[in-house]
Amino acid sequence: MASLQTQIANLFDGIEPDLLDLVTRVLEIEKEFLHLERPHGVMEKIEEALDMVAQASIKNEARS
Amino acid sequence: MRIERVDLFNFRQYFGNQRLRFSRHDEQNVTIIHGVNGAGKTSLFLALNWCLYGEGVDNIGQIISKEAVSRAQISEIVETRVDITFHHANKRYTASRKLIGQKQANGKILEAKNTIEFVLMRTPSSGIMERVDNPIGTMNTILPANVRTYFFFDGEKIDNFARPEQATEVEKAIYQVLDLETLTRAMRHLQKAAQDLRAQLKQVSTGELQKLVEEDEQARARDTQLHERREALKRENTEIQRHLDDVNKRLHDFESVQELQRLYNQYTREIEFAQQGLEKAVRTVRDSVSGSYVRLSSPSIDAALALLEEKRQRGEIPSNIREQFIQDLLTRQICVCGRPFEEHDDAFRHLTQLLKTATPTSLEDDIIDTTGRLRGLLDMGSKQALELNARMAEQVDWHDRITSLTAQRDDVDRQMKHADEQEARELSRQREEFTDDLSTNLVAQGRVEADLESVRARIKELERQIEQAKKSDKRARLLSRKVELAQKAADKIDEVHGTFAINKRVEIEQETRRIFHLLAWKGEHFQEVRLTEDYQLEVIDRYGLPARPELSAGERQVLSLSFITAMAMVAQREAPLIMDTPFGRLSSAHREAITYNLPMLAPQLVLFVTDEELRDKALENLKPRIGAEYRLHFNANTSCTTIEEMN
Repeated sequence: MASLQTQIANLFDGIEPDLLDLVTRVLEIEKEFLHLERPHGVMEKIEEALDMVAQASIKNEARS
Repeated sequence: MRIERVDLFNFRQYFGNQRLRFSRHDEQNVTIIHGVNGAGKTSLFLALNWCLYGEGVDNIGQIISKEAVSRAQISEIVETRVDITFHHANKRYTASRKLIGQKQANGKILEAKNTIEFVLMRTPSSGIMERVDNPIGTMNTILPANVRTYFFFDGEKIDNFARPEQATEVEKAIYQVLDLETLTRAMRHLQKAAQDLRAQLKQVSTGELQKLVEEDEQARARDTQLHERREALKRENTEIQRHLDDVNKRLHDFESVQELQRLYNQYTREIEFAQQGLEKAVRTVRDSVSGSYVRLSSPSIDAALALLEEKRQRGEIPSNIREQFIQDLLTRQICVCGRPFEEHDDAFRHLTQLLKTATPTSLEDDIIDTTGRLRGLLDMGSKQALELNARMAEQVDWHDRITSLTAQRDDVDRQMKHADEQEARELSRQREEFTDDLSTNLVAQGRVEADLESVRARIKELERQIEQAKKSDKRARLLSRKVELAQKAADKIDEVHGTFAINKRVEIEQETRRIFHLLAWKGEHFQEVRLTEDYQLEVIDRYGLPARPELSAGERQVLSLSFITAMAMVAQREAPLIMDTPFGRLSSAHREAITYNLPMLAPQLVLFVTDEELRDKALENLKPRIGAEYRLHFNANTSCTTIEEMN
């Protein structure tokens, strides 16, 4: 059986690449902060990830 | 995660260095640590939790070896440390946690501040060991602290999941072990991000850019229109001028008006010259006015000079006594009256006091300089005013000259209209019409040029505003994309979370049922194990009735163990199952079933046991699976435990 991470990742198969990129990044961030009940800094990291993915998405759109 | 070895140094009753190697073999995956009550099994269990997660210890006094402290001198540094080497995802890690303390005069140990407590080293497949930057975060991605409790546990206390009131605990365990917690948090945080970003977007997007672009388009259309109009007028004027030149030339051919025409041409040339002179004078005046700010500032300059003068008269600047003068007296130590003085004399103290109020040389220089500059500005202002008056007078002269010349030319023109020849009169009349047309056109051209100047200034301003709005618009576009992505991601995770949670609950239910039937000796009696939608762990007996309230303590423990093992299997978490006194409350039938089956259900099994709970058939069952075995010896004379590896 595939690992839990792979199983979760498989459930996102077929979604648009930008969204998949964002979901992967956010899940990684959440895992890093999972041990904290009130994680400080998680929103900032998610905002950073969102910014990167959104900028890349706009650039790709302009290219195509 | 599979643990390779544990190194203890001065940890509780484990004095000095002590080491255990856990079996990582696939078949012989069981490590047994035997010890009587109080031998140090729980301390060892604590060492694992403390080293990997920093839990279970409040201060150094709770864990440092008392023997090590007693042997140390007053003020001597004593250290306690646990190192755990483990393997995870093809990498070898060493987690090291230590505390350092100093022995006090009262014999107690005081923890040293600013010591790096936890270090995680990693050896990837490249073979070069490196220090992990975020050791706590990394440890938690390998086996999260909250998940760890389902893998490292006290066997006697694991019946919680099987208690009726523990549905929340079951749900929490599933959420944590199966990473559903990660999905829930991700969804919540993305929704929050989308909400915050929407608020930001509202602030930046006002449709301003669109309005500006529309106005810019209109202004540019107007610019083109005016430009075309100006060019048309220019062309028309050139044409009129050509006609005028032609008329003038033809008039020059008539003998009766030849002299008048000569005069007419001369006045025209002089008028043109005077017009050029006037234009030049107007430009000069304009330049003089824009540069005569000093003249306009003269009231402020006068006020500043008056203020400086007032302060000077009051003796505030500069003071009567110069700094350099007092410095000289102090250096020579001779008073102005000629009497010598020494340090600490009244005279010395008085002069030192005066020095504080004396004007520094640099300040005095600045004041003189400022006064000079202000007066210089006033002079410059006066000169500028004279210059401006002269230029304005020049402008008036040119204007008068043009008026006079035009009047003279008009007089000549009037005379030509009465010429003897009909054709000359007609030409003269035509010239008047052309001149009027030219004059009208020139006025129109001037208006067009003024409009053009205004439109171009607006276009320039619009360009600046558009550039600024574009920056805002870029931000709005980015924000808009971020909102879209955050919301879509949150929705998708929500969808995935729902499907995943249902699927996994069903999988855990099936696995729990299978394992419970393997471990419980009354497998035939308990027909069914269910994990309900509201996360109640339920057992159904052969009559189809809920049987959980009837479960014995041992059966509840077996049910909980089945659930934990099922979760670990469904989660595909490669983590060791470490159980402290797992069989204490179990009857021999359960012990035998568990010792037979459990090694097959976990990748690595570590059991801390007393001899009483692991013997006979249970021990026999385990023997083929044992890869490492230790015995803890507690020495009552030293109060220390030593670890003995068993063959």
